[in-house]
Amino acid sequence: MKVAGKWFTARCSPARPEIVLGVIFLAIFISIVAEGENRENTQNFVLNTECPPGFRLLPGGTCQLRTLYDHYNTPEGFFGLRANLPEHRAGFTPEQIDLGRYLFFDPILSGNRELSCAHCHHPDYGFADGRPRSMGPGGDGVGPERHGGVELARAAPSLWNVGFKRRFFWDGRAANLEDQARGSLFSETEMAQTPDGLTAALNNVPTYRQLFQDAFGKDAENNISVDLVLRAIAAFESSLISINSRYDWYAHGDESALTLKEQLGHNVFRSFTTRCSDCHSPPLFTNDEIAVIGAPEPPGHSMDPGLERYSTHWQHRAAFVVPTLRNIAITAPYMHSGALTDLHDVIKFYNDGRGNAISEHDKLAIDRRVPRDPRLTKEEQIALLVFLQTLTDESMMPRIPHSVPSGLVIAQMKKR
Amino acid sequence: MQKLRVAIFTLLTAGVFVSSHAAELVVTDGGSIMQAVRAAKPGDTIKVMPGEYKETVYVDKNDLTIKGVIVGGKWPRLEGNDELSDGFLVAGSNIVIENFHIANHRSNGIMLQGATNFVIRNNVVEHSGGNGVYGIFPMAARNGAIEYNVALGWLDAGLYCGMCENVDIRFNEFYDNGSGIQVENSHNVLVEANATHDNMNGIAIVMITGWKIKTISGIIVRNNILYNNNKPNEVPVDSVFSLITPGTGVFVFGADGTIFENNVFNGNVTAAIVITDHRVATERGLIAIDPETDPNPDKIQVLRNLYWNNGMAPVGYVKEYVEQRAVGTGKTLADIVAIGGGSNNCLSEPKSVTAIGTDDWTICPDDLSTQDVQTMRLQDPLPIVEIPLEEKGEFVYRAVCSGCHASGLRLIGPNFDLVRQVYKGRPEALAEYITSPTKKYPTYPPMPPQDYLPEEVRLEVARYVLEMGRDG
Repeated sequence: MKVAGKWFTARCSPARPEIVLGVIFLAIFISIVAEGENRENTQNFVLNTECPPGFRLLPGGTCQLRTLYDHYNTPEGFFGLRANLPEHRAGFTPEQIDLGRYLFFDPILSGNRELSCAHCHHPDYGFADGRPRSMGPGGDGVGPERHGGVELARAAPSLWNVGFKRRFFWDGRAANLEDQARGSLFSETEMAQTPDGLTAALNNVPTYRQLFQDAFGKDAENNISVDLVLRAIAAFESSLISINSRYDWYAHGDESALTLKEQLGHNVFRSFTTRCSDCHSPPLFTNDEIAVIGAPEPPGHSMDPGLERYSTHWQHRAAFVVPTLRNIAITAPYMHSGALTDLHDVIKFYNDGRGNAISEHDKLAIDRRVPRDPRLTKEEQIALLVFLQTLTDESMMPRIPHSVPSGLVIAQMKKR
Repeated sequence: MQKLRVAIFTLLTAGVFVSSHAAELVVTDGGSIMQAVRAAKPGDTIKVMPGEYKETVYVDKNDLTIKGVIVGGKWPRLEGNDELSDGFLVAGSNIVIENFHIANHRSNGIMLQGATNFVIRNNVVEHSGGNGVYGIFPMAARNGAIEYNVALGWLDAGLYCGMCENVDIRFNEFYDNGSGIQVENSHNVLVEANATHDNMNGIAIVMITGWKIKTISGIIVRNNILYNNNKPNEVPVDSVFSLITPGTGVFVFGADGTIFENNVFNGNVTAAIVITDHRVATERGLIAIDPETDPNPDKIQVLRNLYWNNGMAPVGYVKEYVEQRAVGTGKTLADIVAIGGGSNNCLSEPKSVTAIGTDDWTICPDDLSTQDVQTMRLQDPLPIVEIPLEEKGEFVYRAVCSGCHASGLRLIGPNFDLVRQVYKGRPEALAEYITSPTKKYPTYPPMPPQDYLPEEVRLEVARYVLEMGRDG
């Protein structure tokens, strides 16, 4: 038997409290019932040789994502109900993806050996952390309960479907997954690691030396390099796919997949009254472009310059990458610094018209597509809200490892 | 010829279903067009009798003709009352919408998003308050015809073609709008034989930043008549289209690859044609600065148009520009005004045209003509994609089931061998089980319900699971 244990728990779409509870029970069951079978618990780490759900193994040994959207034939850049997804970042083997999963959950990556990627991008919070702004080293806990550390300026974005993106970080300063991971790993306020510290820590763990060789062969023979670490993390992140929501089944032709109220919300979403779909373009629900929307900052926070920090143009002040709305209902709070608590707040922000959340002296080039005065009725606002909830899908959720090769404590959620 | 092709096309697509069950559904005054859309099957025709219809008709399915019936001069009328956002909202393929009077929608009379093989014909689309956005709005729409329509009273434009491909816009009339027609970030669009008059601007060809589609090319503007487009620009000053100068027949904003041939320009007080780069807008923050977009209008060809009495009273920044240039040249009015950057642009008859800012333009070759282009629509319609049920079943199997189940091996749930044993020959029962699973075995965690899947897909995936055993 080659498979080391599959890593995907099933979740329902949309997420419901009973399902979340189910997942917690499920985790308990696995740890109790499947103990004898689970090689992770034996400290005998073996990488998965099968591609993640939704992927197929190509003859060359790498995994390729297959979705129903592959059937459509739209030219690049087009969007709509039945359009292709953007190109997906491919080229990773099952072993590389699975190695990335261990690294993702392993606090050995951080300078103080306490923080893993999952501390701010946790599966239980839609691969974000449920916090208005993330918390770096020095704190304790995971997700909203995390405390005692230094708060960052921005919120952790969800990682669902990042394999389709070409701009990373809120300000879009990274162009690929590796550069994003590098940025957070070696940031003093985030994982506070150094390149030498990272390679020393990993090379010191015999299991990792073995696993890197299993995943990368000769490239990892003598040394685990920073580049290989980043590549493995990118491989895992590219496997986080959410494309099986009720909305998707509506798009593929099942009218009954959405209620009439949700269909009304869909119409509100794509209408020029709101222009949501201009930027949050289906099927990915983002165009992955840069936009200034004039979102509020939390009380006491000055305006985040966004892309302007890396640009010579004032028009890039408070410019951020358009986030995907896939799984948006489970990734509150919202906006780059978490100033909006829930989706009601977000809809109110847009419905109050462009520029309502900035002061008169803030000279911002607010994107022309931010609606001027949508005047949505109460019914339309509720319909829009319920439509956004149809974009929830975690059916391809990867499994959280029970332990990681470093033996350090992984990010566990308390009961929600 | 084109009409013939449309007719053949319609026959062909209809013909496929005539043999099965093409039906005609009739909606009468007081009824709901949307109900008919829901009931319709591919290939059906919905006939709508005269009357008033207060609903947004959205068409996400394929292959429907929705046709107004005009009786004694009375039309079916979609009334928005300035409350509904849209009259028609179309995302399907092979959709025909014709003979409707569509009025007073807050956003658009007819909006297409991602639609293909469409025909929008013989509709009157208006906004009496003048504050709707676009009359007809094909967005990311491909291979279609917009013909014999009238659009009036729309704040931004009578027709807006955004990110269109292979579209013919012909024989329409646009008046009393912001722009008559706007074409944005599109490819292969024929704008022919339209009358655009008494708008703020006749026709605007624009390249806008911030979209994933970052180019525009293959636009032909031919045989149109553009006159008296002198309304004030009423869009708010922070709107991108506040940059369109009133009194212009044609306004080109950073767009490439557009040919203007054999149009008639008359009585447009700023100029017949104004061409500008992006700077007028980026300086004011009206559009995003996008390093991936070329801000200059290139490869513009202006061929053999008729100019009569344009440019006599320019306004806005065009006026300033003309006045600056007038010093020393004596030119105080112009048919064509080019502002800012741009390259490889040409003009066919420079001596008979008054032009300002075109010093680096060349004379177009004599034989340059678009006469070989009859249509921009595709010879064959784009295929309608219907994903086979087996593919849907297999997708669910691979993406969802295989996360917890495998053959010959225990993962999270029971292995498939056990499932096959229990449900052998009973896919319906398995489909029912996965819809609302109950806990069956004490040593396995409960399975999450798969009720979000279409019924037919649940059955298909159940079959798939049960039949896998047969293949070994």
